[in-house]
Amino acid sequence: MNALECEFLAENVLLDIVPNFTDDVVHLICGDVGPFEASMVARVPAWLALYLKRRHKCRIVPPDWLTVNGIQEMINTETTQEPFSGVPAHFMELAHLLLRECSDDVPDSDQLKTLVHDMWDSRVAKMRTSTVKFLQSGEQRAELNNLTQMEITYARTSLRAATNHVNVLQANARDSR
Amino acid sequence: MFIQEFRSQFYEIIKQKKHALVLVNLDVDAVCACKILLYLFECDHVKFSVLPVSGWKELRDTVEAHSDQNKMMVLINCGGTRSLIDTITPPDDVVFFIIDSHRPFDLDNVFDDERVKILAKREEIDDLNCPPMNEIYYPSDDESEEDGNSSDSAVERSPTKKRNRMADIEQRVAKKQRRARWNKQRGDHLWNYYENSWYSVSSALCMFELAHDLSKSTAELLWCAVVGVTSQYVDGLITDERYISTCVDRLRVHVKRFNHLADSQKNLVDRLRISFDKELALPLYRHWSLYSSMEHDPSIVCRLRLWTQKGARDMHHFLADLGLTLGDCQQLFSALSSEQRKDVVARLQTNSDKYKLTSTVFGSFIASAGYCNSFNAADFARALGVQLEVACTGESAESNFFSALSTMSAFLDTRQKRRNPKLVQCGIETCKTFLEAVVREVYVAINQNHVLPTGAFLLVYMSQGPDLRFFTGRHSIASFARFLLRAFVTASANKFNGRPLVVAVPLSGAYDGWYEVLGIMPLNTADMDGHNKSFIGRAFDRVCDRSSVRVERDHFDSCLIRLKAEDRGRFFNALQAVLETVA
Repeated sequence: MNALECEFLAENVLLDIVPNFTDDVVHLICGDVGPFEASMVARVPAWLALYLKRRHKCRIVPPDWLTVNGIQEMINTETTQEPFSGVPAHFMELAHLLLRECSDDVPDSDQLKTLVHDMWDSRVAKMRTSTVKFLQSGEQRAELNNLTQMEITYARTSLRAATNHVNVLQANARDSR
Repeated sequence: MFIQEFRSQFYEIIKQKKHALVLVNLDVDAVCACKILLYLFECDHVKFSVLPVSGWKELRDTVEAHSDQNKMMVLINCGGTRSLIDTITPPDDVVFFIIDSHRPFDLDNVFDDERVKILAKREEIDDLNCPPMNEIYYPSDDESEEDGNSSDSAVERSPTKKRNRMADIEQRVAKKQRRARWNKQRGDHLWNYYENSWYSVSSALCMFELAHDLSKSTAELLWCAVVGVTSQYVDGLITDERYISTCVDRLRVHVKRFNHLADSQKNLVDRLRISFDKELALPLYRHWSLYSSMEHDPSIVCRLRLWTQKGARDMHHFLADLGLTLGDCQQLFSALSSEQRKDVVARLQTNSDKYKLTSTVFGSFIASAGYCNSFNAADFARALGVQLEVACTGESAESNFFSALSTMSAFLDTRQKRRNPKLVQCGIETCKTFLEAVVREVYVAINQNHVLPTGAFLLVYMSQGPDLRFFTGRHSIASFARFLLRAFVTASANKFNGRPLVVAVPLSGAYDGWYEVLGIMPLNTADMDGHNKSFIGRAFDRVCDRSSVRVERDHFDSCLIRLKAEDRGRFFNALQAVLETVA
């Protein structure tokens, strides 16, 4: 699992779009979408929304949390609290996708880019500190709440390698006793 | 047949067929139009193939090779000026859509209702002044009626036989006279219609307006259209007034719309912003030093006569008069601070009248994206033009075309926002070497009196040398020709002001022993319609018809032909005769 795969999985999230064409129900493997009516909001998976956007057939409505104030609040809660704060599902991937592909539909996309990156930085920093603390304490289990797929993916390889090393060292220490 | 509804009669038809072959001429306007059209095809999942064509023979070969698989062919900036069906003889079910900025359209193409469709708007059709169809093609109904009459009258063998026969003969004589009069009128119409050739609205702009109709226009496509229009202006194919009127009437609306969108969202960083502003007419000055740029600008070179020894000193005096320090001018323009830049530009603008420098400033478009340097549309057009024609060693015209297309795409790539101006910057470097070569050749031609005033026109042969590799296509030879004509007229104190110039460039490689001949009109000849009309193409045609010189009239632009070296004496004598009757 890497970041690209996380993004791929995030494209299943449903988004609101405003199409500029009219069409009947479309039967897809994941379910039915439509019927589409011009200038009426429709709810489709993100991958379909991006596909239509690229062909200039719709306008994407950004989710409620993707605003300057919304993300600023999230950053405030994140930096003030020690444990991870609750964030929308697939927050990082969706934010990234929307800011890249439909920056004309998202207001203040420049500012949002920096804010989203700030959010990511603070969460990743927390991940790092908690990983280090966990390894130093020598505990066998740890429980973390409110993690998203991206952070898990980010930490997975290094955490796995680190715990393997710790195991080997501890086993050596036990054997030598 | 003319198509005025681009969307319903052209685009929707191609969308239904789902496959198109796009044949593109090798010029900047065509490359830009092609880019816009391909973007529309990609949005709508229309399968396409793109092939560049450099002349009529290549067009015919390509059509023959692909006509069994592709029934819809789109020709961009080629194929409008000669009867397509006669020259190419395609199979019967192939339909051609022509988007061409060359005028006048061949009348066979205009009146062919089924297979050849020309995209043109109402104003251009009116501008064209096509003679009506029944005055060009003999109406066959009349003839059959008359035959019917005469056969009827032959059937009635009655006592009035003699009277009938007299009436018969009279009828036939009258018919012959009518036919002769009609033929003469037809000849006059054709003469007037085909007399001049000129360039009309840019194909890239037409394609952009189609994209706008389909509501798929973006700032990137607007930039393609802008570069197409500016390339026509830079090459001298359209007059100043027409360029300004195009910019104001048709482009300003879109520029304002995209800027307004960009402003309202304050997304300055990644979006392509296009602005229209007064710009200095010095070539490539943003990417060069002011001094070098002025050394390669036709108006300054001619004004200060930089090919003489006194010229360099005059240049220094000129700069001192303007109040610019030599250090400022010889530094890279981008290295100057922004106040210095504004100061320099302002000085040049205010002092241009004093020095009688025509067109020091002109309205032009500037694209800025992200934090990289902004590009002027004229520089962009020049860079693309040079990339299309200056063949790097071992590369063919086809690869030049695709490299130009990819330069444009790389600059505009919006999908991954990895806008890459590196290819454009390479193009600008090549353009600098090209401009240096042009200036060198002009100086050589003037100082060594290579320009021969032969009666009705001026003739110049380019000498063999390392610079010759730059002058292979219309854009390069025409830039040289315009520069040289201006310099020569100034150097000879306006003695030869009203003469056209003919340039002969020796070719090498496959065409060893042939000359590429280009003719341009005298300076400052704009028609009353505001077009740069040229009769050179027609003159060449008449010379080829009258004398038996070995000439290949392969290029889409009729002013450019290939001539066998041994026949050049006869050709130019015949041209002299033809031009004398005109002038």
